[in-house]
Amino acid sequence: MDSETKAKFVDLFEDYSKNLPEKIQYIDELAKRLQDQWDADLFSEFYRKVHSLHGSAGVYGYIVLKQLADGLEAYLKPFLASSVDLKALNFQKITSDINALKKAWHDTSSEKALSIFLKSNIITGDAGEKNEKNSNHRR
Amino acid sequence: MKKILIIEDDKDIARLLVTQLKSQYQVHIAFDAVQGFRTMQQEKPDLLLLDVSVPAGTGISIAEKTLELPHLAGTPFIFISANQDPAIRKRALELGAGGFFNKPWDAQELLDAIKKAIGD
Repeated sequence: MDSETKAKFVDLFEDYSKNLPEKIQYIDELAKRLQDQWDADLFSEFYRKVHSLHGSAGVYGYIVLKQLADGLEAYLKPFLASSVDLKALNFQKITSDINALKKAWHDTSSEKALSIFLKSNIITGDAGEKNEKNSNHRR
Repeated sequence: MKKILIIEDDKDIARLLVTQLKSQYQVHIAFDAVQGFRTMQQEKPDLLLLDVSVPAGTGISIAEKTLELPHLAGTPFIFISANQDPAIRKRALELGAGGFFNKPWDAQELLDAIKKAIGD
């Protein structure tokens, strides 16, 4: 890969990483606001932010964060349905999950995340060759 | 240069997709279904890259609606999603999607699917 291309992707990664603590903090704030006063629109926003973190963290190489956000999203999803009793929402679990997100952010090596991110996201043009090798192998 | 419309509400994901595709395609972005339809009518893209979960609709509903509109019905579409629900993947493929990619996707595989769907 040329250095100019790599630099563009590194910039994207650094921007994302810089804003990641803020994203987690906002999720935490939304959870606290919901605990104080239930609001369906606020819950919907809370769910969307967790869903968004689930999607983006994995794409940007933060695999543990992705897995934790996935777990929290799966827990929240049934509560989007109007038939589910919202009083059953367990804020102790939610707080614990958000604390785990914060810990995962602190514990994750950004070098490792960057390496995963670059490997998946830069188009090198060799996938066709890889596919060809695989198909030859099967033959 | 062929046009791709990305409908994706997460700005970090949208920026990444633009960076991956802009050297080969003219890329437009919409952050929700309503903006997506407006941009679709204006730009008449050659391919739609749809997130399954977007505000004011879903990627699936966008594809369904597109198929009902004669002037847009032939536009190929590909899904990207963090959602692992097999029913959604199944529905996407029933609708004729040129691919269904879970986040995180492999950039080269996505580009290959785009080229195939768009006829490059």
